Amino acid sequence: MKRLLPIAIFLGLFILLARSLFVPQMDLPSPLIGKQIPSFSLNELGKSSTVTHQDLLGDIALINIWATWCVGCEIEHDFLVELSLDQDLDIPIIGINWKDRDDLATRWLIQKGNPYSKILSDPIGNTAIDFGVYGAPETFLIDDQGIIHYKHIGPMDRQNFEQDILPRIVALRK
Amino acid sequence: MLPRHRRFLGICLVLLTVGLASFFILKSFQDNLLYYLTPSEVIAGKAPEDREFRIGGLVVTGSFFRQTGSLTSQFVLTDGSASIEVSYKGILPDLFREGQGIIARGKFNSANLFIASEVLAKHDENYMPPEIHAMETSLE
Amino acid sequence: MIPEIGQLLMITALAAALLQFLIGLKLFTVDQSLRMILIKRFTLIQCLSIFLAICCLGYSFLNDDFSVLYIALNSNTNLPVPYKIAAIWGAHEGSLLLWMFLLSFWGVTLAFSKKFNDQDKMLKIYSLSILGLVSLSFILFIIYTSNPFERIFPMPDQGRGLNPLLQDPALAIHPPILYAGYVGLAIPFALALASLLTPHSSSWAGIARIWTINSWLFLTGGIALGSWWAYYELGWGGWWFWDPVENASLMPWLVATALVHSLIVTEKKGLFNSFSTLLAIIAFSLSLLGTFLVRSGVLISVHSFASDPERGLFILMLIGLFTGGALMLFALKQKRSAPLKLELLSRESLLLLNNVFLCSAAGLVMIGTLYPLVLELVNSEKISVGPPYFNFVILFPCIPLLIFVGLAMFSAWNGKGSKLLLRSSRVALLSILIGLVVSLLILSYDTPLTTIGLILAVWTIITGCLPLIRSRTSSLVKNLPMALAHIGLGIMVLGITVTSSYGITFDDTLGFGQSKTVGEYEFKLITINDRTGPNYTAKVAMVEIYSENQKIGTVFPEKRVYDTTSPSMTEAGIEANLFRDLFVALGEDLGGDIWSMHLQYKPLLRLIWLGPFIMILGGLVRLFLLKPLSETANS
Repeated sequence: MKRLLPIAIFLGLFILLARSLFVPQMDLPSPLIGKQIPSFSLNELGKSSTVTHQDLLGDIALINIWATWCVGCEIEHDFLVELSLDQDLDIPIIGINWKDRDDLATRWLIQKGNPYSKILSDPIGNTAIDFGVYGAPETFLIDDQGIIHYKHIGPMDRQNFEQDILPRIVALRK
Repeated sequence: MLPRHRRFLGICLVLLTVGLASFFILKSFQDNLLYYLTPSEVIAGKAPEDREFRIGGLVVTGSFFRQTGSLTSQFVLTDGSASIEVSYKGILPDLFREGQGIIARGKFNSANLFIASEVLAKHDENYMPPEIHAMETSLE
Repeated sequence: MIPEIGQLLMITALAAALLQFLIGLKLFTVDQSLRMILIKRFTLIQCLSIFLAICCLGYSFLNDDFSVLYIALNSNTNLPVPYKIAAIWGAHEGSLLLWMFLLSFWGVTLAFSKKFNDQDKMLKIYSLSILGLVSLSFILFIIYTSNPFERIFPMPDQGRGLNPLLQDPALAIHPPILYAGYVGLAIPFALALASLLTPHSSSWAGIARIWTINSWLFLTGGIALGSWWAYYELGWGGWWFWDPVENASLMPWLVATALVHSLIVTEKKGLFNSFSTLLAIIAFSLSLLGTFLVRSGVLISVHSFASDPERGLFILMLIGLFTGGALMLFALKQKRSAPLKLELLSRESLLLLNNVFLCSAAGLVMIGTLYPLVLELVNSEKISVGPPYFNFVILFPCIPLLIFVGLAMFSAWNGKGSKLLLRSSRVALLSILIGLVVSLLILSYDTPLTTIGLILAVWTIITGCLPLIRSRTSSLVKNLPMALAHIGLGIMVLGITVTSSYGITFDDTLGFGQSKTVGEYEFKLITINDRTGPNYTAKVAMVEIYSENQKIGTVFPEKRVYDTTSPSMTEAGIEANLFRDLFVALGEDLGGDIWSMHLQYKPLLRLIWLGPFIMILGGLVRLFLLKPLSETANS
């Protein structure tokens, strides 16, 4: 009996640690879910034309916050390109290039491929703050009215896309 | 004294000591827990009264203000939906910057201004701008 | 090409570790001596492969091969060569590689150790086999989740550079030292498990003690160095923050200290065998727990970490495997020991008592560190436990601990309590007297706690010296390690007490030519200039310090901006001697030639690091000067 005590204590601790792993990290609850995207007016990357939040309405779309300095963005980039080529899914991805330099961003897209249907440049980071962005990469799912339905923190990959985002897109399209 | 009595006395002593120690420890625990909240949670009234807690959020760009030659600075913390004005007297950490994620410890004064007694900058290699290199090291 | 060779070497090491593990099992009917030869060979091959893999990584670092992701992220062409080498373990992947190398290196020292008698052959084979399993898991961990040799395409022209915080000599050597300590605890762990499998061998305690002292030395050094680094580099002059990352290194240290003492009793008296076994398991498990806490990012910490649930999950599985498995084995195989009959104040019971205190200290630190996780699960609130909790509760085990540390110096094996109290009373009175005089007359009275701290420090130092004073010259060397360790402890307690009670710290503004008074010292800001270093630019302040209108020194605190990235770094200006530290850190430009400054006066601060240094000396004496002694004792 006495010998089983250490292992019992350990089991308790172990379960605690295991469960804490599966609690979402730094889960700043996104208060924006269910709300309209914040209003903004940003330049398109490398162009002089401006885009406002109203230009994003009319389509179910993903908004992806990214930057060239961000390692997570590098990881998810190939998947984004793959996603943009998926004819069946056919979902526009709007990029917001956050706190970055336009020349670096342009070169990155030439080298790695461009998955975005529109890229907005947010060098100061004000729009990202309005979006409640905590870091990059972050991806928002919006419907055709511009209502935010989901926010994904960190790099996206096929697994978490199919698990968390795809079902929501399908539901929205119904 | 019979051995049985002696053992009983011993056990009583041990229990008493353990009990007293646990009482003090638990009490100190209660007094020293620091809640970590977001500005929205604070606005929603979750902040403890008369006790310090931590707020995490981003420093709103353009909100930073300090009078020339003064040690006191003011800035606004936000999580995207709610904002809180913070006042801090002291030296800000090297990694403090507008648009940056920080953690402030403190409590509200009577004028509903959050008086921070400590400001920490968060740094995380993957999710933060390049100014902020992670300090991923030293085994941590 | 070179990174691929590194990769290949990792796979070689993996294979060697697997074979090392398998040979130890009784799967094949192999002759025992052949088995011994093979297992030694594989241990060596594993260690060499890892070493060469590190060399490959180092070679690529020196040649700025930015096609390797790890190097692109942690180096650039401007980085000075010594830091290119330190950058090998500057981040997660490389630091694990180093961890792995140290593990295999300790394995080799065990494999080729002459401390085993003939009847302990199986003990050695089993423990090496268990180490093989540990290595196997960690090499898998590196290859699957944290491969330092991973390539990126296209290759960037320039790397991102090493984190400027890490560009510092103390921090360059701090991780290897601390890791050596953590990993070293794998050896007593393996020996303890092997002893459960070989019920007839009794000499595991003596052997395990050597390696426990060994890793205890590295842990002590690593923690002290880390604290010193945090003091002068993190900028704000604190020396201990109760940060989860620091706690992660303190817990194994406390348990390792208990283990060293418990093993003495097991080796010399054959008692506490179960307790020692359990402590050995716990000590290594706490090392793993530390790695988990840091690498999985489950806790909010000032030290940041790249949180990666996958890595966390892997480490957690390893904890489950090793700790769970070991405790299971312990429950099944532990011999039923005869009921203990101890004299209340004999040396055995005092050692046992102190080990209980050390373990409860570790437990209290653990509760404070893990409690946020519990609360988060229960009602999804994020909280952290503040330093005041730790500062307060740690006193509960530490005060009695220090009392008994001193008492134990008067005790004898199986000795009677009445004699003990009689013998110690004079020294106890003397300590109380000195403590009272110092706290009331020499220093100004602060709090009762300060006085208690001073009395206990004096008590620990005096009783620590006793074995040297009383012993004949022949046994002087034999008593030296214990004496030094305890004197070091007393000195550290003295430093902590005085610094915490009488130190002065504040932030203030200073204009050019203005001065501020801190205690009996006056700090005067003369001017602030620009300076250009090898890979940074800096603002340098010139601050003169006066005591009773006599200039005693000039310090030059800096604010540095490194080229590749833009966080500014604070380099404090410190004027120190053994008795006090004067510390100035440059804050910000507040406009109008006025700057914010962080000023502090910390009396006896150096003792906090001098103490551990003396403890380490004690350990070194035990390992290197006493070797012949213990060997003659064995034969």
